[in-house]
Amino acid sequence: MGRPGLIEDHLAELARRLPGPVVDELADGLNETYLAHRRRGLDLDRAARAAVDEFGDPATVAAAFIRSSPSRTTSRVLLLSGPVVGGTWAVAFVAGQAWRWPVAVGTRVGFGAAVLIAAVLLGVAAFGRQYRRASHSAAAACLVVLAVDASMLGYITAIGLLDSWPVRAAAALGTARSAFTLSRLPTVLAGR
Amino acid sequence: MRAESLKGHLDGVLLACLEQGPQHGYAVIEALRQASDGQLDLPTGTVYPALHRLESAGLIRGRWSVIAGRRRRSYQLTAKGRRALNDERTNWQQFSAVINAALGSRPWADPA
Repeated sequence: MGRPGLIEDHLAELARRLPGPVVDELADGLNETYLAHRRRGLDLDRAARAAVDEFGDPATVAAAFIRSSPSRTTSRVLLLSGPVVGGTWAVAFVAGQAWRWPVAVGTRVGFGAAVLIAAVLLGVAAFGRQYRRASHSAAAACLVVLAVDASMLGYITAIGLLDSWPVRAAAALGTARSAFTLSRLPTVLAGR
Repeated sequence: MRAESLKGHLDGVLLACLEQGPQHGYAVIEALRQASDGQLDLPTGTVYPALHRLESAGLIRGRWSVIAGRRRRSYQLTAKGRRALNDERTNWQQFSAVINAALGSRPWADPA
């Protein structure tokens, strides 16, 4: 049985905002709602209107998906923990006189840019109103955060700085953040 | 009943709807409507993200099937979800007992 144009329009609007599998599931639900109204005796147009009204407008439904998405919760945790981890590294850098470390200027600039990019991506993922953009940003941010943490941990291990307690504290926090990010990554990637 | 009244309890209510066995989204919404005696004023499309959230938390498990040419996703409780539902019930019973006791008591007698 074909679906009325009103329901097709509603689904098309949802498809512009949400991923295909989610829209498939919503289409089934909206269709069942429509059929239930038909069984209650409403004509085609009234059943379609009732189903759409009952379902909620696409913006409301999409916003609820964004609020519930693992991308949103993961990015907010990373955004909130960022200053703590970053602050601990800053203390470690000062204590270890990081300006004396044998790191090329280009590497330092690249590292700073990566941190900045991660922050921007997390901001979009944590507060963005578009599901796809927020999900893609969260996935990219997770990968950048992992790369930043792995680079830092790899570098301080390689140059043997782990005997300093501020560095050990920063490394421990960085490791914890990496473990959290890795644990959330499959869900975040699946939500894109 | 407005959605705000359900805030904090929707997850438990959804888990309860799935207690008897796997259900697809619309069946969950119907169970929710019947359980609330039609009082629930909630855009039904917003139940689906709540189901996804429960699935991400490992409390329910989703599975696709094809019914009459349409893809359908059904959900069932996991062992973790069943434990969460039991906890939710216990907490609610304790909370409601306290509120019932407080609201159900007669006004205190005027000492004057």
